[in-house]
Amino acid sequence: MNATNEDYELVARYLDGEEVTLTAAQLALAEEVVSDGRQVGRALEVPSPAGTLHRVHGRMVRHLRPASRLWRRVRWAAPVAAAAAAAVILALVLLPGGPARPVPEPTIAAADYVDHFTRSPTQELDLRVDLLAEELAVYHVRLALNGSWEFETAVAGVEEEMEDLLLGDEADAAPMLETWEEPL
Amino acid sequence: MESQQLRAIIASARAGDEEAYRQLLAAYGRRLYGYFYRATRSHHEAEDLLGEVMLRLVRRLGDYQHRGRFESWLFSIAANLVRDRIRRARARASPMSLESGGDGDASLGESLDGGAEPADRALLAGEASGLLAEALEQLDERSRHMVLLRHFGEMSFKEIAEVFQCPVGTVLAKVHRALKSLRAILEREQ
Repeated sequence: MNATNEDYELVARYLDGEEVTLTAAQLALAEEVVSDGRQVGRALEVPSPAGTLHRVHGRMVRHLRPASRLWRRVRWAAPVAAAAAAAVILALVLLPGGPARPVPEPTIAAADYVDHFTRSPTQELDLRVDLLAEELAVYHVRLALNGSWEFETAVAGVEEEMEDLLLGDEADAAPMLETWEEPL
Repeated sequence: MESQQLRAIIASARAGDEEAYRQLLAAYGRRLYGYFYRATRSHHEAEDLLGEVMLRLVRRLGDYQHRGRFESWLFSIAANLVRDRIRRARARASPMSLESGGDGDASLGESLDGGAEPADRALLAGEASGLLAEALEQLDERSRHMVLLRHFGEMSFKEIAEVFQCPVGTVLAKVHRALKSLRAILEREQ
């Protein structure tokens, strides 16, 4: 059969599954194409060498994984960047005066310095006086309970110590503590 | 592969699932390999092209619309790859036009290496004296690829016509003549 272009077109559409009415010659052409295709197709088959698909799969996986890693990084980077931006905005809004305002350096007036240094020794002295007063109270209680003169003498000594401590200078006060160990 | 199953595998592959890509390779890898091998007559080139087409699949699967047949789309990519590689190989070897066929129309394997590799020759010797491969070489390039796409890609004549941008009747005419020629050689072998 000397097929024309029109024959080939109709037969091609028929072989592609279209509803086409063919002449007997066109139908014979279609059958010949199918038959030749089957015969040649069997001969064309070629096995792939061992390991080919495995190697290709490895290549494909290597290509896929960096993309996945990058995607994981990008996936985390976006929320982290958003959170950081939100934190900066919050800081700008909530901080009084905003971060552009210079933070004032701490300053103490001269009068405060004087007050600080004069007050601190006093407080220390007050503590020591309080301690002695407590001891004195204990001695008074014991004296009342026991009626012993020894205790009264001791209390008188403590009172003297207190007077010296309060009225005398520190140089005099320190040796007086040692005298407590001497027999009264 | 059933359409529903294929659709699910493609969806998984689009999500980056390695197993889905492995399944696609298992389903189409051998046919693609056969196409590449018959087109290039080189096992080395066939494997390289198979890897390349799978990488293109990874990159382009997002663009694929599940309207037509997946394997036609896949083999269209494969055909373009082969065409590009032959074009590049010829540009390096000689200024021969890709569109020219017949005389001097060497395979990619010959263009690259001056002939089939020794390992390929051994394989070719095992198949009908390698005459089928030689007969394929005698065909003009378009006819050869049309026959190969029809067989390995199971593409319709219309789909092949789209790849080669020619009338569907022209495709069948070329395929018909090529098949007759190849069948005659096979019958002589028997």
